[in-house]
Amino acid sequence: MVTKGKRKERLDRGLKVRSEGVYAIASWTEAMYLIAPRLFLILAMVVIPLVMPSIYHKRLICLLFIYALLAISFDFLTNYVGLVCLGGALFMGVGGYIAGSLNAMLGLPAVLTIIVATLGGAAICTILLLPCLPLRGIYFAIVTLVYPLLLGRIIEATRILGGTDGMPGLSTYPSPWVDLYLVIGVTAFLLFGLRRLVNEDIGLVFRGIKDNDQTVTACGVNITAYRTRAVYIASAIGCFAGAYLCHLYGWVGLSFFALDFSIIPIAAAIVGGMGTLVGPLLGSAIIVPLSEILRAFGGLRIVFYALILILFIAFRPEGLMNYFQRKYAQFEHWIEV
Amino acid sequence: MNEEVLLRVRGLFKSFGGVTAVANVSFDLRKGETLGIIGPNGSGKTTLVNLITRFVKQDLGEVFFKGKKISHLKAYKIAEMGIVRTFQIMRPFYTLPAFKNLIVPLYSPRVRKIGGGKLGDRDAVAIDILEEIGFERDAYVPYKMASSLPLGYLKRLELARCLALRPEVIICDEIFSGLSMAEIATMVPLMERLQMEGKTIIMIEHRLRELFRIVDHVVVLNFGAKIAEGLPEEVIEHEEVKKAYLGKKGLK
Amino acid sequence: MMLGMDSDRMATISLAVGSALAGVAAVVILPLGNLTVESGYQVLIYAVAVCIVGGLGSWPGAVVAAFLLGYAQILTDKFGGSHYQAVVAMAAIIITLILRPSGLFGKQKELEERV
Repeated sequence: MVTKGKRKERLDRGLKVRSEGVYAIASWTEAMYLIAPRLFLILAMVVIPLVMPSIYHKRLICLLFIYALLAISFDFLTNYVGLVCLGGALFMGVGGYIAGSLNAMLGLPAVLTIIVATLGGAAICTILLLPCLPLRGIYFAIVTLVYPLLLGRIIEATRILGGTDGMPGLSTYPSPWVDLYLVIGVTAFLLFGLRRLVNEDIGLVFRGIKDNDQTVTACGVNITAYRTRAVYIASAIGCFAGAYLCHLYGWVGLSFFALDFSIIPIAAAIVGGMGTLVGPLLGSAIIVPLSEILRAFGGLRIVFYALILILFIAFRPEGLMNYFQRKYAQFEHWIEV
Repeated sequence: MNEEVLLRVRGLFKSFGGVTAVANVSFDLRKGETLGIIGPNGSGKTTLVNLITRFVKQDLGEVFFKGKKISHLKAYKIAEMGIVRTFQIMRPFYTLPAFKNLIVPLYSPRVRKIGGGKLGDRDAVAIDILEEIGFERDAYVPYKMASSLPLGYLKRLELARCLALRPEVIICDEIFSGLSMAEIATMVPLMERLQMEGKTIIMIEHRLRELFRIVDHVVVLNFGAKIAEGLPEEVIEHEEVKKAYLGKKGLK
Repeated sequence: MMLGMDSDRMATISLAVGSALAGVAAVVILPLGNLTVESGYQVLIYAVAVCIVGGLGSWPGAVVAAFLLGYAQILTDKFGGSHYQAVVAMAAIIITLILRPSGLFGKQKELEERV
């Protein structure tokens, strides 16, 4: 019995095929096809803050990019190295507290504290996570989930580093433009840098570890060492976000270890499209303003997050960016079967 | 073929729960020799390879490589020393093109050390290796996605992965399995060429006819224990071996 | 799936049973004091510590680890000061992961065989 039906067939667009390879430079249409999305992204990142009316909106954009940084680091670890990281809050807290302590106790200026917090905080986070790196899958996830809660509890109970009140009165940035363009610049650098990294040889080793770590071991590569490097990179991103936030508000406290900083980046990455490094940026551009709009609802806004997440996972699990990339690169039509 | 013993396996034991997978297996592997390991299904051949390359920890026994004990080292260290293996259940990197599959071995510490610093363009080296192993460069086969290649090419890709590491010992785990007669007919000359280049190979196989044409020396396992060892002609006449393959009734 | 069991249904049942057990635990802990929305996060830390120390995949291990960690908590509260309780949990997790990753009674022996 022959079943008749229709199915969707997806074919690459002619423009995409023509623009693969070095011949794309030969024609303006094809070169533009490749350059336009990236140019649009950079222009949007540079121009949108300029048109924001008030400092409230500017702060919102800063916060958006902080969550975007955390979401990008989550996307990198999960989809390019195979380690599901539920602990963005760990990086935020460690980075923020190191920057805050250096500023409050040693009086170092913001530039130095951010650099030290990024590199040193990443080292501390990597050392903390070292015991679970040789182990399989799930241990990394639950340990990263629990560490920020634990560290928050410890700081609260032992009252070191300001305890429940936190450390107020830290130095802030000289002007609102520095606020904005510092984080935007770092995000842009990271987006293009990480995209380059995952296609370089070392990025292929990371992707190999995600795909199939037994084969990589059989090639004589020490998996734990490479996972350590990947975790260092991701935690450096997170610690920078934490240090940046600390000097944005001039204050660091227990809320840096809040679960928000772990969960919202994951939601942003899922909504925006996992696997593309740009998707998490798009996702946080959607979710962070949404959370501000929903602030009037108080605690109920978590219900909205949950609803949005469920809707996306049920109906469009690939995420927005994957959908757009697919539409940009392929067209589809129904054919008879 | 020298008399230098490259790999020495002594008394390997491994049991999983109540099942003894490998029981007191010992053999020597000389440099340049091709050793075949055969035995009915479930006789512990793949477990033996896992024990030698330390993907599974042994309960008892030792392995020596060039006189030094390696049975306490981690799996990646043993691969780094030059003992490479293929996997019976093929696991290439499906989302990457064929030649990118070889970047990981070319990036490994062993190749970087042997190559003397920077290897140069790894992509070009990868494509050269694939061309040597039979991927036609003109038909752009090395550039195809690994997920779109047929099984014969995937098996060669696995072998290419081993060769990219400039190995001292190659352990092929059922590299002929699943291939059609035509594909095997093209693989056998490849193995013979590797032999002629002087490589030391261990082959685990079920297809005895093709295997016996290639190997110098055979070890037979049954239920984890070594029941026979020697030249292919001797081993095939051995009582225990016939009993293992054909059953007791089959001898009558 | 290939063995004839619906894996989605099994996952759903596991989730249901796990959540039911957590609900029972919440009811049991009620007499100890108040119950707020954030109480869950406090318990989460100790639950994860118990899981790791006891070993994933073995519920006798979880019971033994629960007693161990519970006593360790109370003893530090009495002799060390109540603010060191979380430190005990964190130290327990780290020590277990370094020394014996599969926990006390863990079924996932391959974690130790991960050479």
